[in-house]
Amino acid sequence: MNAPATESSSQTAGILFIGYGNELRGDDGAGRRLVDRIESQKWDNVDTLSVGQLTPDLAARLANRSLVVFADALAAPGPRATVQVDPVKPVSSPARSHHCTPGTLLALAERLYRAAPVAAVITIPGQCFDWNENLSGRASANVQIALNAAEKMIQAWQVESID
Amino acid sequence: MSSESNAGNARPGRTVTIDPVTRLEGHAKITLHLDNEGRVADARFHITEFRGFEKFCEGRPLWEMPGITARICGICPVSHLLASAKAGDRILAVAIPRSAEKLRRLMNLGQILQSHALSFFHLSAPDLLLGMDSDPASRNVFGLMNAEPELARSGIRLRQFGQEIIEALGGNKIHPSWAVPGGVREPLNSEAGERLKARLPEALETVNGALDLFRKIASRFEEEANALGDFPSLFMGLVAEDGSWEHYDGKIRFVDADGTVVGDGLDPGDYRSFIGEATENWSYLKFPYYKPRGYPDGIYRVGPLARLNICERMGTPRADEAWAEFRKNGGGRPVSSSFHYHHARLVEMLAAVERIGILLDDPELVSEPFRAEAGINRLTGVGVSEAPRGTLFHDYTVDRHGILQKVNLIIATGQNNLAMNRTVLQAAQHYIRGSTIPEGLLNRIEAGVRAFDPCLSCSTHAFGQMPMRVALFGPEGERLDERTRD
Amino acid sequence: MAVNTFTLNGELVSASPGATVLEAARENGVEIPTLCELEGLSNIGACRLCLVEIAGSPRLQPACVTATTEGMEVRTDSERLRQYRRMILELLFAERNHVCPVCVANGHCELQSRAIDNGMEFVRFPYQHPDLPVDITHARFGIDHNRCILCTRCVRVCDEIEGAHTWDVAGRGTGSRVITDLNQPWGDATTCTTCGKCVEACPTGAIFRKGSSAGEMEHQRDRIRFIADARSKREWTP
Repeated sequence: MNAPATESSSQTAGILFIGYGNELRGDDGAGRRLVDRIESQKWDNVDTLSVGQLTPDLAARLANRSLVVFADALAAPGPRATVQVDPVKPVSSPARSHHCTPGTLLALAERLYRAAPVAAVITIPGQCFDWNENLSGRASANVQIALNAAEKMIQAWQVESID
Repeated sequence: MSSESNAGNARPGRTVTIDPVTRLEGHAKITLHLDNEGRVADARFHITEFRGFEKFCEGRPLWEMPGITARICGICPVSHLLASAKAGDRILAVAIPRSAEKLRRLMNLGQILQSHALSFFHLSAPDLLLGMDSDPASRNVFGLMNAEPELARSGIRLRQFGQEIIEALGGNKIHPSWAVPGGVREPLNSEAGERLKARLPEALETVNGALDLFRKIASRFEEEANALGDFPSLFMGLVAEDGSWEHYDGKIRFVDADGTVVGDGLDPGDYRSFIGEATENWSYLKFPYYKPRGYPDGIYRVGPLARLNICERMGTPRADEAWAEFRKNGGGRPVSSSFHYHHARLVEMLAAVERIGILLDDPELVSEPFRAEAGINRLTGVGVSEAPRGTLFHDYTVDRHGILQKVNLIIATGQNNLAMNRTVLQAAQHYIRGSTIPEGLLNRIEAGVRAFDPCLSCSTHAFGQMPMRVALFGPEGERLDERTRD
Repeated sequence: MAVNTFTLNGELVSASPGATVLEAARENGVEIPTLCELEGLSNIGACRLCLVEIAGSPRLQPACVTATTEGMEVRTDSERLRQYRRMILELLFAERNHVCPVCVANGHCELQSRAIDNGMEFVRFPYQHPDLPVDITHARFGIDHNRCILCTRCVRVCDEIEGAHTWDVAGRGTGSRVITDLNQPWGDATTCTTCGKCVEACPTGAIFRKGSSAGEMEHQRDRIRFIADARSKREWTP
């Protein structure tokens, strides 16, 4: 099933990438495209998860992770908006709907599973969010930038972990 | 999305706009219209519509539709998958293999279970367990975790169990279209079947535990039960041939507020003959109603509450008991308060777990064939399934080769639109006094809408968020007050 | 037997006379990416994915239609070639509407595989989003022009192996399209023998068996070579 959740095989790896968005709404799927690319490149020690939206049950998948990286599209960005990587801290604010934010998901994982991974979110500016399955030129270029950023982040992380 | 949405409306009086701030053009906002005496005269719950998606499907071959439509929604992909495949069955004019029907049923039960688990344990339970007047800062899933951490964890496991059923059948993302016109592509492999069976006892225990908990706290919510969408309406849903609860096939039944069956044995394929779709100039969404009663008197509710109100039994022992207990809330008539959607979801979860157990033991689940082969034998077909939130219709018209010419989807949340308006109106009338917005009202409106578990994520994932902006306007349109809640 | 000796990526190799660069590279275990080429069919150099560098020639040459010559120096892999190949793939993706997740050939598509193999990271060119039809008037097969890359394998297999020549190409430039008979619906094409060779030959999900849903269309492309060998060499072992 495509829509609920697809996860790569290994459950024990330390790093998890979660891309989320609606692939039928053009650039809204940019975060998922990013993790698809990571998945196809089979990064060491990295699992990926591609979902329509963040739901509370994903908290269980954060257990035992050392690093969790969320990837999301940024709608209606300014003309100069760029790919951004920001740290995520647990946010204990209400989950009012089917949708969680990375912060609330992190807080859930912390409370329910004593998971305390380092977390970051990569936001990928998009351009076109109409019914469409392709990324716009701007979003696909940004996915590439995000991929490079993710790669650097993982390298730095693994170097740090060894130290 | 502006709060001044009522500006073009000549209605005198004030407008309270509760406006979820979403990041894309789609939105779900609530506006309340006050008359000059400060009483709430009207409520409007606005939801994004589906048109764009329907256009998007036109020109595609019929066989690809289940795979495309399953991707509409991250919350209920299976409902679209099944409704689409069933519309395809009708166009092929085939009776699908029995094994295929059972496998599809199994997947739909997994879907109902995972969706209800999310709704109950993570969205409703905080309101219910912590009380609706508790501080919103802690009246949420985090407050719940502090109070009942094991409940929250078991809710997650229950949802995972439902998801596992779906994934065991549908596989990973290489095959998004497991159900196809004519049947299904793969049976359940026996290893997965055994794994799922082993998880049944825990699932049962979790659902029973939640029911016990609900019994304990239900009496605390009598005021809510009366103020939260307790109004007469019709109820609609699928019912099995023997009158028992149905989620996949069967015929449409309408029951009125007194419990009288007003429409029965209706073929979902003829929905146009009994469901009308009204439009309002203030909403893009259609307003479905029961035709014989006219608009808006033909208001009906769908979903768990409706399904339990129209059926005569659940069809499995434990769920039958729970159903009888549930129906006591109505005192011999259908249960009318939308508050009881929560309870209804629990009863349906119990039925789902029991039925999953029965199906997993059924040898026919693995007996070939799984797919009927046929060409285009009809040019139109309507597929229906009971989604967690209610009856879902996919109505397709194809050319003689199977290319989609026209697509019409009627979604559950759309059908509950009128009822949600009524629920919001009722809550507002009960709690609004004067020209300010009491915090308690926001809580009640939120809880009132949440009882329906509306799924607004159909268009983009951001739609699920419902931070609210509340603006209060005077008779001349001037802004008197504003409140925001993230 | 006389052979041509030439340099392939810095190593001296030999090739049978008349062999193309592509054939000689394969004989020597060197992979060159291809799309329009299919064993058993003639080569036409349409997709340009197999471009190679030849010392002394300022232009890149398609390996599938360039004959080996004594002493030539061929390079099959360089940053420049990789860039060109990626660009060709990007242009193919941008030209029509390729939607992998719902495509019947998802997971069994040569265009998709080449994009992955060649590290096509993103599409720099604006998607053209042409409005193209799907023709499923044929009793058993369908063609979705959204997924066609104009490799003309269908045209060649129909002409060279089946001998029916139902398929051809009409139009020019971005308006080019494969057609059946005199640009009639496939179902009305009287020359079509319904042999299905074009279905097996198609590299993408453009030509498919009717009734296929996402990911279900697996082409048996080696059947074409089998038939060609059976016919020309009287060999019936696959």
